Amino acid sequence: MSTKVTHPNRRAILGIIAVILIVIFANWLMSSTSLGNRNLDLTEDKRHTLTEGTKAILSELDTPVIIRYYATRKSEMMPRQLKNYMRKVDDLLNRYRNLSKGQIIIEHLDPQPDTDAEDSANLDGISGQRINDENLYFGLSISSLNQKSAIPYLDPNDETMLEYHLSSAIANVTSFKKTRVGLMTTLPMAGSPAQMPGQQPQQPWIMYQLLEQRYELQNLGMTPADLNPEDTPVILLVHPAGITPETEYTLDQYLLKGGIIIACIDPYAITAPQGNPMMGAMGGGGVPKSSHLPTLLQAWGIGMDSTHVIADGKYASDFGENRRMYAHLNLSQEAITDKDEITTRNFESLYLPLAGGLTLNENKGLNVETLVKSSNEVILVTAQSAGNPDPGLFTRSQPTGKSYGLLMRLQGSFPSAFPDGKPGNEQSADTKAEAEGDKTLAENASSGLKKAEKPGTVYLISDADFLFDVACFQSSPQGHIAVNNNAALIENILDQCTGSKHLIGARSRAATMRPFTVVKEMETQFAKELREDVEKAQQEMQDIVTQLQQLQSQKSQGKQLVLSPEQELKIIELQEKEIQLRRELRDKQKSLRSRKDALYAKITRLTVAVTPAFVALLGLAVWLIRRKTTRAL
Amino acid sequence: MFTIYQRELKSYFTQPTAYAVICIFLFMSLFLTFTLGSFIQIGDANLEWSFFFWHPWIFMLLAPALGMRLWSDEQRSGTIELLGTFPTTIWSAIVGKYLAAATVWLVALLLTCPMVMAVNTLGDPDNLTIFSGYIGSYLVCCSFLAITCLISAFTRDQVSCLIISCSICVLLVIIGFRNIETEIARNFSSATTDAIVSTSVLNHLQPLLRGSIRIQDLTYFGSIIAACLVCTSAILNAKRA
Repeated sequence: MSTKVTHPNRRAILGIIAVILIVIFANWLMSSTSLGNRNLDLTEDKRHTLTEGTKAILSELDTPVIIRYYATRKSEMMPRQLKNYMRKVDDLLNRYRNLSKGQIIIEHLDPQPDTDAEDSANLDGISGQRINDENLYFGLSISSLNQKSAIPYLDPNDETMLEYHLSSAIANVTSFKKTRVGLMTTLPMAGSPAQMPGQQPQQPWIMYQLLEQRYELQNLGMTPADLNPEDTPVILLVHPAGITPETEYTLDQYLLKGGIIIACIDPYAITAPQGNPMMGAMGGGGVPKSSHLPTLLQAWGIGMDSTHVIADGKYASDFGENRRMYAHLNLSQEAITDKDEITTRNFESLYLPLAGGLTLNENKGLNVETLVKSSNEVILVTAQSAGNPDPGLFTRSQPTGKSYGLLMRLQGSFPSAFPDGKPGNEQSADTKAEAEGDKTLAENASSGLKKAEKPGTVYLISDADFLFDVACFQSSPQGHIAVNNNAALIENILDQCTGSKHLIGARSRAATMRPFTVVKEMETQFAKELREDVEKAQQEMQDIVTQLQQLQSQKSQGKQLVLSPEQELKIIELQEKEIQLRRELRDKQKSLRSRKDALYAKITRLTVAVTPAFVALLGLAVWLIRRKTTRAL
Repeated sequence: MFTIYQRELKSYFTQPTAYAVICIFLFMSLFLTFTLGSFIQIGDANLEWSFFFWHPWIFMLLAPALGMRLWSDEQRSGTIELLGTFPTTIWSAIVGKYLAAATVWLVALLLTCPMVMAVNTLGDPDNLTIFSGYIGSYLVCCSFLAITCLISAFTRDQVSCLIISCSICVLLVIIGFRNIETEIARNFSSATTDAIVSTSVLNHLQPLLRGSIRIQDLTYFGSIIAACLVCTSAILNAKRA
């Protein structure tokens, strides 16, 4: 029997080759299977984990959903950024498939020119992107039975919205009819027929027409007998002026059954039709300007002063010629509290004329989120005074110092606002029942729900006029152009509400920038100080101009073109004041810059210099000790 | 193994070499953060781009500088023969020496804590994501150190070891760049390009910097480290024989 002895070098080489092969195999296995994509998500907002909403949608799927995944893979021209993104989409789709228990079927298609796959992509509405002189496809078509939806192009820059778009598309194709939206309003949103012969009928609001195209819009009137979330999943309540307790009770019961209410309540609705005094006796009464949900809001722990509107020093609208309207809120991105919130994502501006201020007075166990809020430079004014420009408003009155909610979302198991049953019925029915000893009648009196059967959702907006044509659109030969995000706001909310319930409150998975809050605060404080100074100086300058005008008016007819010495003095004073104001502003800006620079310099010094210097000194000490010891030896 | 680890660690910190490397690393990483990384100008409390982005570039030069003496020195001075007479295996010596060098880098990374303190002072960062970034950064460093360990087992010359190790580390970093990838894609098929690009350190580091610790990335770094150490053992055993 002979033993073959391998040379050590050969053995080492063979060993190294074996190790290299194992490494390649292990890495290939991990990158090509779903096991390798399992991860531990350490981010605060669990950015790399599927949301609960998505998981719920996938687990509830009861019909097969086919996702046709069009991606031009066999092209050298496909940019690397898109290829990398493709891997992420592959990974996400695999996770969707794994969670759907076989209901999601993914078809991978690589549309090359003049192939069936290319025709199929075009039929599915997937548009090719012209990149490096080649038509490249990268999109998804989602279909279930006869419903179809598409994401024409998967933009790597919109990666944070991918999960939301995909989940939303799956939820949409698996619901089989246009969602019914119940409309309850006192405003003439749907238009009105001509009042008099020869008069033009009033056209529906543009917003109404848009909603009618997208949803099965059902006018419920202001006194619906009964509402059921199964029939009407969403109710849009616009300016419920003079709402009766019975209607509030109906809404309360609807909410307890798991309904969704989008309520636009307004302390002063400009668009509310005026009463015609001439037709008073003939039923020509108008609609009250103020609307409220007195019982419901109280039960939800929300407060709103229905007699006062918000005048905001920061978000005031400028109508030109010094007509600064503090109560016409022109809200910028800063008013959006959460940049990842889908309903308000990427919003540039919102216009809310004469809006009220919502406050959370008491937590009733609901999840209350303020999505849009005012600044804290707010004065509550009566609507009558808010309608006119008032430049001195903020010099005369002190701001409340707190910000108010303008759009709030309430979610959870709502408490009943009518624990004693339907208003008006309880007493009479109880008395009757007692008198007649009829148990059934007594039970009926209190047959309404006392607590929530299912969690409900309420969106509260403290304005109703923001939906009116001129508040959202500008007419042009091309049609109506949105001038702000007002229309998008109501569309986004409705999209969320009419899609899957699981997507309500979903956030984009934004790799959000985390700005230096300390510096932001410093800048906000500075801006506030600056505005106060400018307003004060402008007031002083205005006073001088008034004095100048008075001096001019006191002069006799013939001398009006010649400046009097007092006038000359005042003009010089005015010029000096202007120069002084500019200087002060410059100095203040310099001071802010130097404060910021000092903070940055301190941070830079401490970070860059301290530890390396400490280590260098330690190293030097070790070297010196070592040298000393070596010499001593 | 633990004795070798202790002896090596002590030797690092009783000589100025480790201090010099740590000091250069700290200065370079923090300096690059505040200059090319535009930490202040961008005003973002996330450290992904301004801070961690520079680490592979620094490690590809400094990790070989610290690791080049791991075995080259032993071979040049002949102490490797002496090591063979100790009642310990070559494997224990490899792991002990490697862990000691890795500990020096752990100290270096921990000393960048003023950066974490700075972002916490200025803003509201996601500290767990930063922690994940540190894990990624440390894994890159350990991988480069393992590669240097393997190269140092091949050669007696420290300079050769430094140059070869640096070249390999540079290659592993730059193949992740778009321009290099485009060039590879022009010359190779799509599958080959994907295979080459998947060896890039940056592709596996990025998820970690974003707070996602994936099994495939851990496998990538773990397999590089383990393979390099096993190969080092094979080479040293062959040389001893």
